[in-house]
Amino acid sequence: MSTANTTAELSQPKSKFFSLPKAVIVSVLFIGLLAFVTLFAPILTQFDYDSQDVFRSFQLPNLTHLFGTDALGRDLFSRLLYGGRVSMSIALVTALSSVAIGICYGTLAGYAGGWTERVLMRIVDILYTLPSLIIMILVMLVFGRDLFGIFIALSITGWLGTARLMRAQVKSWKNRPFVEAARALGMGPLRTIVRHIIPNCVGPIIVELSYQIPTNVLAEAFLSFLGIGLRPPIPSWGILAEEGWKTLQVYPHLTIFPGIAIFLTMLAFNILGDHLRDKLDPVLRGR
Amino acid sequence: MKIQTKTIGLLAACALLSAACSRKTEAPDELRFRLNTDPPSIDWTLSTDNVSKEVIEFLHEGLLVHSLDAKVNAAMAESWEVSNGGKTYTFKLREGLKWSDGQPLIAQHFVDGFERALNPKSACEYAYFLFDLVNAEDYQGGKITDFSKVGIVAKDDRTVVVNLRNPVAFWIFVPAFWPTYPIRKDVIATHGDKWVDPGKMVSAGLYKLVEYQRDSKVVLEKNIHYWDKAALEKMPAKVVFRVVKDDSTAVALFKNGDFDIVRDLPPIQIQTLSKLPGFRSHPYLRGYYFGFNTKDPSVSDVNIRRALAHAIDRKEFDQIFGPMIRPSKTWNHPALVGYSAERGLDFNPELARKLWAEAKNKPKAIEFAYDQKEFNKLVAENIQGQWKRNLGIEANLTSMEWKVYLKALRAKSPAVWRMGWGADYPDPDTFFSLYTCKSGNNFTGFCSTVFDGLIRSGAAGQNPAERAKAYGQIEKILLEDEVAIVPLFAQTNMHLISSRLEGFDVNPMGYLELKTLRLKK
Repeated sequence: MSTANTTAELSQPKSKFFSLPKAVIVSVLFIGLLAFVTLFAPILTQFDYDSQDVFRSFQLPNLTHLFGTDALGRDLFSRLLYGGRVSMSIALVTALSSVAIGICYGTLAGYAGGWTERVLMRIVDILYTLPSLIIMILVMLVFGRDLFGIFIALSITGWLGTARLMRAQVKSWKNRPFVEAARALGMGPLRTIVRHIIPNCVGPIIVELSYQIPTNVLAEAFLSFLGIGLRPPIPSWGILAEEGWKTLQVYPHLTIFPGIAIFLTMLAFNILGDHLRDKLDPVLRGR
Repeated sequence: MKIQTKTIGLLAACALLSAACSRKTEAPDELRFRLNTDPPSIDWTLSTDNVSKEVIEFLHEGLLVHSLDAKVNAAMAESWEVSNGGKTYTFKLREGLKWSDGQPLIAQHFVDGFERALNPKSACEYAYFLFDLVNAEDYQGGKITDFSKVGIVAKDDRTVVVNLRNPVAFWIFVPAFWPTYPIRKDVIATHGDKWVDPGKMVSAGLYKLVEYQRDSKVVLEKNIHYWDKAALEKMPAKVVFRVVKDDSTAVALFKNGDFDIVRDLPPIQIQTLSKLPGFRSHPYLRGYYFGFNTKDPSVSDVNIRRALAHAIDRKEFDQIFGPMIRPSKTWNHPALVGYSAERGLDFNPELARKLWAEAKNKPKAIEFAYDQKEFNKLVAENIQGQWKRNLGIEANLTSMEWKVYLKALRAKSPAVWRMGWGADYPDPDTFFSLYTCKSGNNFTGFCSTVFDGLIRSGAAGQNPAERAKAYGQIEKILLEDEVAIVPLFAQTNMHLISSRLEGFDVNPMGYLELKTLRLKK
């Protein structure tokens, strides 16, 4: 049964980890490292992200300030780690919440079928046509420039893909014999969905999640870069890049380090996502 | 055949190259000027900001014009005299003055300009500027409706007579200030608010408006009816203002040869930019401060305001901004009467902490608002850092687009807000009369009859020593007793100018010397 297969794939013995493609190993290690340094940022950094020393502004990377300092003499290394915290938590939370919204919405549409499905999916189609950036900007205006505002702005625009995916998944599972059997035994729709359908969609959901995270890292960076992200002095990678690029010609380190951080994170999550898709997608797996 | 292709390729490359080169060398005969935001209003009677001012100065002119040495020169008035103990000014207009549509410009147009500025319906924020005229304040306040009772009259087509209720030491600078420029009532009546659009606007300065694209560009062409034809002839054929909001982008465009004059340089590049041959720095009667909304519950306690003021170390601004600023805890300027370095609250972290500890109803965080500019953001973040370091108080920063910001300040100003003020005339009155009860630019919520009385007596004073004393008192009330505002520094006026531009000079109030501007052919 497919369920068994999927769980078997997921709980691979640890020894198999090193038999994975090298790029995947490196990506996983990088994500682990990222999680570590951002979680333990207060221990790993000597300076606060907002402690200024204007007498040491614009220093190039050196031993005290590993990545140099910015216009107000703030340590870029600290700001980058704390910024990673902000960017990653935004990315994780918004990925989880938008996937959750997508699952509920898509499952409802797929399972209900008929008019409900048509109406729900046309709404998704309509929302797809709206430029997400403008919606994000409007939402930020309403909810304000804080973490909550960003969560809402990114979640509100991020769930559409998941909804479409889940609808298709649910439609393909809901008429399988074992689901019909469950129904025949008198199971209610909610129980059927939760116990029998969703467990079979775990693979695609995880893949979706691993793509959502880098998308949201980039979306946050993008909003911040436009100057409508979080309020100062809270750093995020996008804010750091935005502050840095104005002096790109003179002090390139201020842009390069946040740029590298965003780039590597996106790359690692995408490689991991690709790998998971190859492994978990029943169609691709057959090849 | 092969050779032929090569030759064609080579020729094409040459053609491209020369095309590219010629594009550079054939810079048009137009002065290309950067604006950092869309001009909020080029209607000179109502305009209050120094972005619109740049455009207005090219478009129009008053009776007098500011000179380089911070005095006034004759403009549309060829001569003037002061009589009646400093209360009567008589201006004689030049002969044959004309508007850009060829209509004659007469003394009554100046009277109309004053009327419009003072008319309560036009809500001109600079109306208080003209309150020195007999009955002007009552007219603006709606107490009298007959403008003929106000102290300005067109004696004949070439004579404007102004009567003041009191002698005012610096009144001579008022006729050089844009809200007093003449207007054409018929044009405004025909088009309403749209009279400032290209094709409708009629002005009488060196240039006239031919194109205006919101948030993009303003194009001016020579006004052939301008009186000083000799000066106009040598000036560029066109002036093109282009709106580029981002300072770094503006500098990049300048380096690419797309601008002749760039103002508002990016602060963090200033060290490098100041080494460019096109860099010019001029002294500037322009102060930068943060103000309190003294009515806001979080800072309504004067000791909280005092603590916040004492917690600012201005040396840090010197470090961040270098040649752009001169730190200053006073609001008066060293070049002006009544200046004393003693005034203002200095950096004193111990006292700040003590005041803070003793204060009741301490806010959890301070709201600090600024308008969206890199420079202001750096200042705001630095103040945020200093307050945290010295007082342990958090500040919540909010940034707004300039026009939105001005609206917000007028509606209900945040607890703390930043603002700059450029002198409109070289006298301390320009800096202090902002905080009178009736001033449209007073966002502090501070309003005191004693203060207003001192302002009036300082302005009326003919004796410099007495005036100095009055402004000393005024400054003490504003900065030390009430702590309505906290001056941070005086700005310098910096520009990047292209190598083809000659005759560029700026007056301490930021007025460009227009008639000497030349573009090398």
